[in-house]
Amino acid sequence: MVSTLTILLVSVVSLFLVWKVLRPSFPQVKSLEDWEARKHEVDPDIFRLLLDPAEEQYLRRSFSPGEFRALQRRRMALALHAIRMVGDNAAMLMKLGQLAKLEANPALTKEAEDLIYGALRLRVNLLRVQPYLFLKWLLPGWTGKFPAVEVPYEELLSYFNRIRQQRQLELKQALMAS
Amino acid sequence: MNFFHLLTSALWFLPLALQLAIAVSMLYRGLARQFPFFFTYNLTLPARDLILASLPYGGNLYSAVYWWGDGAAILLALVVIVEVAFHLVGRYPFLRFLFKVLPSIAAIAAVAAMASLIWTRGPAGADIVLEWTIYIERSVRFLQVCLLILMLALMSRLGLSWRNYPLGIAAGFGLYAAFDLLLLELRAHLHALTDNSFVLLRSTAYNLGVLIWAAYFLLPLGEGPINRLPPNDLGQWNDELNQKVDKWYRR
Repeated sequence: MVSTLTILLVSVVSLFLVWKVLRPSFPQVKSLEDWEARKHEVDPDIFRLLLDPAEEQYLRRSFSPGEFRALQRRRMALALHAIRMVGDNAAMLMKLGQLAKLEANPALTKEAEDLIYGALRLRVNLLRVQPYLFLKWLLPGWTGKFPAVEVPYEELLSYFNRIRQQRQLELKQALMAS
Repeated sequence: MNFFHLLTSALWFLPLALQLAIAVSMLYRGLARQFPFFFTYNLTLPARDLILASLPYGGNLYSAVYWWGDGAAILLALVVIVEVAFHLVGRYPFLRFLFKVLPSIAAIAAVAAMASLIWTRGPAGADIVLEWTIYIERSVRFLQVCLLILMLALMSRLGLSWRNYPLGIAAGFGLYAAFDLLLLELRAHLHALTDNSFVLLRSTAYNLGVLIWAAYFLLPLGEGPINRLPPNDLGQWNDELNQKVDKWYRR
């Protein structure tokens, strides 16, 4: 009975995920006009302010614990909303990058690949930031740290730079050949 | 020719034709090198079906080709999942953690599948060998579906949904494997399906999976290119989030 239920659950989860990835989930952008109409304006400075530890300390000192918790939850909810919108923007930009790659233009293709790379990296970062913000929303006074499981950022950055240099070299060679 | 025979023939022929077309399209689009195992999969299954068509139905040789072919197809499908993961990580190195998570999920799923196989009461039908084969197949499918869940969840969260070949491959396998797992459970454990309906539904599930691959590999893009990219603040946001991650995650 347990194995049957497990199998049913696993199958249903898999079917749900297939449906989720196949349906058009993000705003459909087919042109730059679509992007201009559908992009979300989110200011990084406001996001920074929402998560500023000094600001958090000030609020903790200025309000009663109950008021602080309510206020802090609202700030975290806003921060979560902001990064959800940033994630939507990144998804739309990824699609524009894919569309730009269809144009047979090596310089534009390189630019598009960089854009897709950056957008994807942003979405990976969002995956790591979201649980922390959610925990802060759940426990407004919490100031702990999560264990890191990722490859160090510097290592990634150097890898990214190596790829970039290699691509620039390839592009130069292609231009010289043509 | 009765309706059942006509339907099974159509369900047999459609994926055979589509998979050969997918293989040709992969060669044409230069994707065979990028996904060699998926390309092999699309050639192996039609080849097995063509061999089966030339053999007398129900004989020992037919049975051997069918079941060994089925086992090879499942193993090949598992390799394709790793290929898809490798393809993603090769392009985007910051997804390298996937190769840390994938073996752990596989180990947990394999243990669960083995436990389910051991604790089960065993085959109760007339054909013990066939039923054991189905039980073992069910366990391997379980492992496959668990890995696909991880892949699909990750791709969905990353927004890799539009014209993304790895996603198309994973979605096709995900749909087929999930339905197949359900059908194997209904047939082998619950005895809720007759042999005919089991064969028909299994074939339908496979057809659905192949149709997803066909949509990704055969259909034209349908959308025009754009000739410039808009200015954006991705770099600024990435810096901002990297600072937060550095601060919030203990190294």
